[in-house]
Amino acid sequence: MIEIPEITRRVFLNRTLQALGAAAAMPLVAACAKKEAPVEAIPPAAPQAAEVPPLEFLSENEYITLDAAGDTLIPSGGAFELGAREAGLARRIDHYLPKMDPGVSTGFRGALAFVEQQAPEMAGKAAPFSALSEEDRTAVLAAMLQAGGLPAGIFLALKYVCMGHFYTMDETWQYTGYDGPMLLEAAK
Amino acid sequence: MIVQGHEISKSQSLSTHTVVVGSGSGGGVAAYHLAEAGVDTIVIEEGGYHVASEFNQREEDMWPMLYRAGGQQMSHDGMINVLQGSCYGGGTVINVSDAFDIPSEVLAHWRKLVGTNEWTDKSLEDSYQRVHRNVNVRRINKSLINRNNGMLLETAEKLGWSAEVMHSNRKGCVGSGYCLTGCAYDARLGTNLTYLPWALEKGASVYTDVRCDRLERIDGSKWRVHCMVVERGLRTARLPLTIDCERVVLAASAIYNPAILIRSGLDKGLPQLGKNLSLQPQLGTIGLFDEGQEMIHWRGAPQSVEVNEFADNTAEHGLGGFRIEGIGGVLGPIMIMAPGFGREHKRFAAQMRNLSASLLLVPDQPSGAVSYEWGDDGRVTPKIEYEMKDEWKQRLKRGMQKSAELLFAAGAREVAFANQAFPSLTSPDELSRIDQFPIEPGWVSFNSAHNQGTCRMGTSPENSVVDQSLKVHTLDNVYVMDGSVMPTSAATHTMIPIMVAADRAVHRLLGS
Repeated sequence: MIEIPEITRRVFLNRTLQALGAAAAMPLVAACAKKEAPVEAIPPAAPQAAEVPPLEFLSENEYITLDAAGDTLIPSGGAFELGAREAGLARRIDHYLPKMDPGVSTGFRGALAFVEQQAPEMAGKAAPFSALSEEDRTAVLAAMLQAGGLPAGIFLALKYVCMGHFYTMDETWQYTGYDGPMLLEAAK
Repeated sequence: MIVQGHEISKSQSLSTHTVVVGSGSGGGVAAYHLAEAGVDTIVIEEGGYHVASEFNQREEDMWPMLYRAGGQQMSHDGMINVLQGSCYGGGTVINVSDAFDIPSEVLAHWRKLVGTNEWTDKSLEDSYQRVHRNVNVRRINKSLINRNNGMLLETAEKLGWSAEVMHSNRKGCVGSGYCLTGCAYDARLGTNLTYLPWALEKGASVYTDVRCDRLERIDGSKWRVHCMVVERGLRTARLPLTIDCERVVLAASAIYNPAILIRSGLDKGLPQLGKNLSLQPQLGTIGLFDEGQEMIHWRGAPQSVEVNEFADNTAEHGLGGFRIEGIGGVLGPIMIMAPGFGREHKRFAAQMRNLSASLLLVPDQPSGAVSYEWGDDGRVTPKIEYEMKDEWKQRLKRGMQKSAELLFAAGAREVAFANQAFPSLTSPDELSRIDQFPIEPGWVSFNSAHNQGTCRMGTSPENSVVDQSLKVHTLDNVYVMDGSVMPTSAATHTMIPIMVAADRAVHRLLGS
């Protein structure tokens, strides 16, 4: 669990942001579409950590980043075996992104770019996020949270999208005890 | 007649007597009473027309369909998720049906603050009667109170705290629990099932998938309403549509009404426009109970009990103190309340049936403002700025302590607040830790479902935007009838206050 830093977080945040330079993404995904924060495409530097299915919205490299982020936020094992990667979470999110408000979907791209390219530095990692081990990716997300402000906001946006989609997947319900939409029950 | 955007294939120029912008609590009520009185009325709604058979009880489909920005509209600092319905029926399609009147103390506060002497319990009496009857306001049937809410009621009683079952606008509710994602059973009597169909019967027209961009004064006191037909879903601009009219009623919410007036160049002489925003931020709380204590927050009426022991309404400050209310029916927003990530977080998910979910409602004083940017196609992006005052933060923390105290008294073994940095509490001995709870961007996430105040009512342009009849001070025949006219938070849940305000305004208008 994240401990509140002893150093005042505003100072910490300012230092962090200065170190990052102009952030590629805004506090939350919806804000990322603003003109002053152009979203840069993720360069094809990430290794092929995951098999990339046919995509509807994301680029292959964005998909790989999202898959890695999902696997870090909701790994396999623990209280139940199913994790984001086995459940095909990134593909599901890619399917829904084109239906989202353009500001949100564009902003989500910005969030992925930030996580892939800039966030690793916050945990002292030199490689792109998707190229890191699970342990190192966990450290990167923890560092984003620890920083508060903008990086934590991006973390929160990722968590919201990933967990929101993961726990509404039918495949997860046997592990959580959710009995699904009442309409489904009635249709049986 | 309902005309959906996809049925419009070329630019159109229409004319009517009154254009109502927005179809939610305010717009729906206004449209019906105008049409009932024989006034030629067109309602325009930016969202789509959807019916119960489309409400499939799946968040991933319903958020994009029914909410503004798919439910991801945020305050500028990312701290507050500003939820708004955006569909035929507006917020009345996706709220949790809670029906609260404006407390007498709030009306008294408004009289002191902005001089609204005409707004009294007595002067609102007829409107309350009509609204309560029309949307079937009743106390929630006990059979709909799920364990998550029942636990709050029983524990409050055990602690000697005041609590009660809420009123709502349901009829024939089956307790599915999916109020926040549209009722598949047509049991929540929003304007989509009441005022709007009644307005249609009386000859009104409703245009959905049509965005109002600006007003243009033509021919003396007449108006031309410039609109854009938008693609459903992504809302990209398709075709221009204009409507010439005698009168305009804005009911597009406290977030969007000022945008229309500002883009029209009609903000001159209205220094309060876009200011005085109340968001009434709410903080989610989850309690983890033992295996034998299932909460199953997603069935029954999601929000049926309020613990109001600590409510503190006075004529000096209006709504005050805080309330604790149950919530449920959505998996994503509740799972994100659990702090952390990874395998540590999965243990909360694995015990979802034993998770209680509640909201801490801490009424605020107006402390925000909206400003805007427009895209090339006229699409507007609001910048929602909001400052949390120290006094409010102190009340929030006291409310968190009382929420946790209640949940531990109910048997919770762990209590967590919607945030990403503050460890959950595992014992009542840890309540003092709440003093250290970080209320900072990125770490804590609030919800707002009751945006109000940006076109506040009052007695002059110096203290307000509209007069006590809800007419814009500086403009002939332009009215505002929704939550944006409330000088401060009208109630902990604003559907009924908005409906009553619109009812009163339209009846005064027709009477005059």
